[in-house]
Amino acid sequence: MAQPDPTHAHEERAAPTTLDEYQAVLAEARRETDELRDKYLRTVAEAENARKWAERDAQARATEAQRRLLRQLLEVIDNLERALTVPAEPTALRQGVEMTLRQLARVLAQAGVERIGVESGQPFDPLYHEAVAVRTGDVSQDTVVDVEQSGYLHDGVVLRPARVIAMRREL
Amino acid sequence: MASIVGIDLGTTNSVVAVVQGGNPVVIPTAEGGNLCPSIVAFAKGGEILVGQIAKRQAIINPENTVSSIKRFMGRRYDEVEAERQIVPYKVVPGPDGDARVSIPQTGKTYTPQEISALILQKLKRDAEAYLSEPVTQAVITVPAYFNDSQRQATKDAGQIAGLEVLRIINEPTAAALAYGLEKKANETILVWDLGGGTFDVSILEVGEGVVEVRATNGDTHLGGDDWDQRIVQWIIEEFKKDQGIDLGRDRSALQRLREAAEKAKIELSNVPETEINLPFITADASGPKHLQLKLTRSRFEQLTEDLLQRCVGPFERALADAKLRPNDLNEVILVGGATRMPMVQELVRRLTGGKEPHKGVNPDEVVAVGAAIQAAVLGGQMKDVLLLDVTPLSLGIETLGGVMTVLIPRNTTIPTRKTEIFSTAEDNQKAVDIKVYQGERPIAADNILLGQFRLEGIAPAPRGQPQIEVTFDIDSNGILNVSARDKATGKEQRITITASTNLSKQEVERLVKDAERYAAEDRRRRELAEARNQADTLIYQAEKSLRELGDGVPLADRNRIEAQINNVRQAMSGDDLARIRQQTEALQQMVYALGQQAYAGQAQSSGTPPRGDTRDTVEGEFREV
Repeated sequence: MAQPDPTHAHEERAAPTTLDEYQAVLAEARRETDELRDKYLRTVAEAENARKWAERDAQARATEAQRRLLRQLLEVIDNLERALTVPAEPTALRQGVEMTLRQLARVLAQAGVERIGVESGQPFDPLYHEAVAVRTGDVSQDTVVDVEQSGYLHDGVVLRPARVIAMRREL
Repeated sequence: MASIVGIDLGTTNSVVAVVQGGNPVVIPTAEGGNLCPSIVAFAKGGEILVGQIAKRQAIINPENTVSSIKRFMGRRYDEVEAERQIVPYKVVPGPDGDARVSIPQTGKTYTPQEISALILQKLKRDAEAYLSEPVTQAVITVPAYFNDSQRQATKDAGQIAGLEVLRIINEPTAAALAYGLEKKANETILVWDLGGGTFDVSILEVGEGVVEVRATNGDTHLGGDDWDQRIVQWIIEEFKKDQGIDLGRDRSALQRLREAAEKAKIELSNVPETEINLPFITADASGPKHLQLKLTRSRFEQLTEDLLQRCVGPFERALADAKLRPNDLNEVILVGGATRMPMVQELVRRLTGGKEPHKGVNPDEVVAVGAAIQAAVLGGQMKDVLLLDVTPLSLGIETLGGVMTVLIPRNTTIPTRKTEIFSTAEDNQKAVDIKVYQGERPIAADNILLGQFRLEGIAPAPRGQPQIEVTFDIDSNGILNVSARDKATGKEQRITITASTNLSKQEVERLVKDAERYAAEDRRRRELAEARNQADTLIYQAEKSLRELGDGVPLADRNRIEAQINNVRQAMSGDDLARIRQQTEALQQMVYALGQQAYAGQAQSSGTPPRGDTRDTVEGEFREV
């Protein structure tokens, strides 16, 4: 570059005259080169790592954004399911709602969403279940009594735990 | 080098962050999301659950599920009478009169340090998974009002978790670090931390890199959850009025109300009105009932007015303790998710005499970020990074029509180098003027002229053909070298500008603000300049075609085109963008027609392969340099 970098300017010193002095200067220069090479390699590696981190973080952010949207869609599924629990004659309207629900379920399945299968009587597992109400009864371990709201996985990760009513042993 | 993490060990939630490549990042938990509930559970199967999973089983296992352990850290049993009443687990006195947690599942008692250590261990595991390396050192934050015994307890918790705690720092100090305010000279900073369940006000004084807490106050049972609860109550009342059904007695409906309330609160931070839609919320003999309500921000603010007022007292007491008046505060920082609510921001502004608070996108992560920055400084990781500067403003050159063409955008880390090829705007242009500008406005003349030079001796060529390579190079000292080289002749000129980063922070801010303020007007001017450039290019093409085709063009067509060229020229001299575009378009059509005609004529007369007339011209934007 046109201008010498003032911070890296070498200090003035007497020109070497003897062989020893030349060797000392050479050794110093080598040491400095090694140091700079090391710094340079580290910097390149750091840049490479930063790029990788950025890539991974972008990926994670994209997944998280998708999951946020999916969670909101799950609430739509919930409501369609609620609509179908209302006792009614098998009308065309009801059939239409059923079809809509199936369509939405298919869309979610294609996006990697699957329902967590929960059955009444199976052991309560906080990895997949969230207890929203408790009953006590004659059980040997904490047990799922009823599913209040379905849980879902997205690519194997819990998108939303199943909300369950659980039974614990009477104390 | 192993990373040192920063941990915000909170009452309700904990967050862990780390500085990577000079930037603080919040580490997501294994379950997803950045916040880890500060909850520990001893499950029936013997395993220990922490965070989200512990929360899910809390109600089925309340006596073995520990939340809010921070309220007991380093406290004596007889000091925590009130807190003991609230928590569902059993708090017992330890041998030294300290508060401990008794867990029936294991039949053991645990110190708050041990419980906290379990949370820290989980954060450590998540951090190790994220960083793919062992994490052994940490900086942990505590409330400014924590006494020595509480701080020591926090440090011990770290040690039990296998973390060497390099430093315990105050939460408000961490927040100040996150905003880089510790470097200020003699400033007074207000930190307003309204979280999910606690409210803390701190007044800090910084000077020469030392941060001192002047006063703290707060309310240990006031937070965003209280705001949610008000919405829930309001919904219940509205529904009762409307339908005569009390949703407050319906557990399952209540669950949905709570979620809807929190969602509504969050939405009202961005929009003035939100809709609460809960279809099939309940049913009676007549059939299913839906809940559909509109909540405006102003109604929400009325509903929670008293909660907001509860923030005022602690603020005033802290100020009085520090012997300060609102005008003495230089900076205000908002921390905690609840400070996203506009009413809270408005209140803070009003109480501080209209001061604009620092508020990040994620106020609930600010403390962990500050802790991570402190960790990086202690680990020496910040040193190298801080040396790297950025260009405070964009750097570029003026091109055809006075347009600012940016080569190095603002906030680019230096040293850096950028090369672009430009060309001439006139046939046989012999020289180009390189004018180097700095600034954010799209019209070069509105920016700061840093320097200029002329590159002469360009070989004669039609406009757009010469290739002039312009290079901007900023070295690590901020010295800018601009060079221009004609690729055909190898002729080169350069200029060195040493003052490119000498602007004060205020000047830079003013220039950036100006650019925002004039954005609409500037865009119009830039569009105008670009439309003129396009018109100019087209006139050039049209004239060239007319010249080349000579008598091949019927006189009537020639006259029509020449008249239209005049129309375009006239439009160009005015400021009417639509008119310029319209006239240019009309000319464009004529040029197309001319080209087709000429092609048809040529094909007929000579049978030579088709050759479009406009093909010689370089596509795209010509730039005068």
